[in-house]
Amino acid sequence: MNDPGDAFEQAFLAAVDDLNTGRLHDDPGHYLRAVPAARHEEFTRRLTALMAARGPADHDEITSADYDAALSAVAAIEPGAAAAGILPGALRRLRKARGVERDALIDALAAEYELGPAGRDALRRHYHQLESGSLSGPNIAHRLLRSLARLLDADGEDFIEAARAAVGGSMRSPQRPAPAMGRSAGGSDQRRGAPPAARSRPAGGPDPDVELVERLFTGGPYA
Amino acid sequence: MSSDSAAPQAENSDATLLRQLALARKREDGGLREQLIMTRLLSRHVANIRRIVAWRTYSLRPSHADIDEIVSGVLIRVADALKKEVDASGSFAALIAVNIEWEVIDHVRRRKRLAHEVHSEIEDFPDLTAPERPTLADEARELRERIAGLSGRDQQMMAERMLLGLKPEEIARRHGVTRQVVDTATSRALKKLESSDGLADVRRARAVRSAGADSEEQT
Repeated sequence: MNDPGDAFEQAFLAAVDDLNTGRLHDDPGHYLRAVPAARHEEFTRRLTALMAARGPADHDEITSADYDAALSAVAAIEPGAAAAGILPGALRRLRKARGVERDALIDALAAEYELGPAGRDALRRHYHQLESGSLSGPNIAHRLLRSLARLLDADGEDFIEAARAAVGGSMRSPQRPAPAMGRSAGGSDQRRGAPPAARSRPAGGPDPDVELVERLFTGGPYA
Repeated sequence: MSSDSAAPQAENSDATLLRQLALARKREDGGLREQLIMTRLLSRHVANIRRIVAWRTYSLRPSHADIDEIVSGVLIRVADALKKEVDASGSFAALIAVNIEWEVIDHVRRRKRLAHEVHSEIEDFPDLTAPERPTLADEARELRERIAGLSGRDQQMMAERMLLGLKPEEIARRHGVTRQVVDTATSRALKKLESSDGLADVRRARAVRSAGADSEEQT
């Protein structure tokens, strides 16, 4: 940089100013084209030092993909949690910390959702799958997560956030579409958890309590 | 303005989250909260890590998949470091810089190994792991120190443009000068920064360490 009009300096300041306005070109070659090849490495080292020194920019939005990448990293260091996210381990730890047996938790959930024996059995099976990490977190109903959090004296929003981790999620996974707001096919009764009287079993049809449990565990956030 | 006060929002937000992390860790039932705070902390940095990785590895012509892989590796390294120890007073940006460097080095080594398995004569990868190269963390630290070492308005304008990310027009307004004055001051300051190489000792030390490691490996 011997001259203020030097190509290196001009390109460097252009990159800095673009960085400052959130318009840094994705392709470094956009700036390096104007810089002698012998100084490319120097250019990239200086600019990355600047990025590292200043940290995240105000205009850096945290996208859903960024958040999921961070959550996947946190899950990756949890023993046995990489594929299932952080919720299963959190449930086990919280139950232990609160001294709540699994059966007691299932009884409380069954009472809250007014499930009959068949529904309770389905609840036990699905809860076991949840704690063992074989359910997909994003498909669990938020109302169930809030119920679990309440029973374990935790924050329901934390459970919902923890359940975001996609099974086997990674940065290369396609971004999940935003969840549709409250459009369960079953109508408002299903969304709110209809009482047993409204869940009478149609002749020869599936048990409505079992169906409700399946919706809660696999029907999506607004089931 | 000292260089330490540059980028205060990022540091303050990191510092707040690190303090919350330390508090969550003290609670017997704070495991989930701890993981979510770590997630928030890391997610704030993903875009910047991705930018740094894309630029830092430019000579390797990485694919998007390569960059994704390196970014994921950096996040896991940093998460692992946070799980072991939380230093609420430390610089989170420095922790990230160190781990970007290591992950890039590992990536280069993996690529070299793979290339040699396919074509043993391939030797033309730029060597991002060469011991004479200062690390990203060294360079970032030194940049801050060198800006702090400038005097008067040059120091203020450089910190505002380089570290706070202000536009030249904003800096000119702050100081009641024209855009031209800001550009001249920035050019002058860039030359001063370039006139001394504060990392010569780092390069020497790394070369000595590397030579020691090589000789140990050979024996």
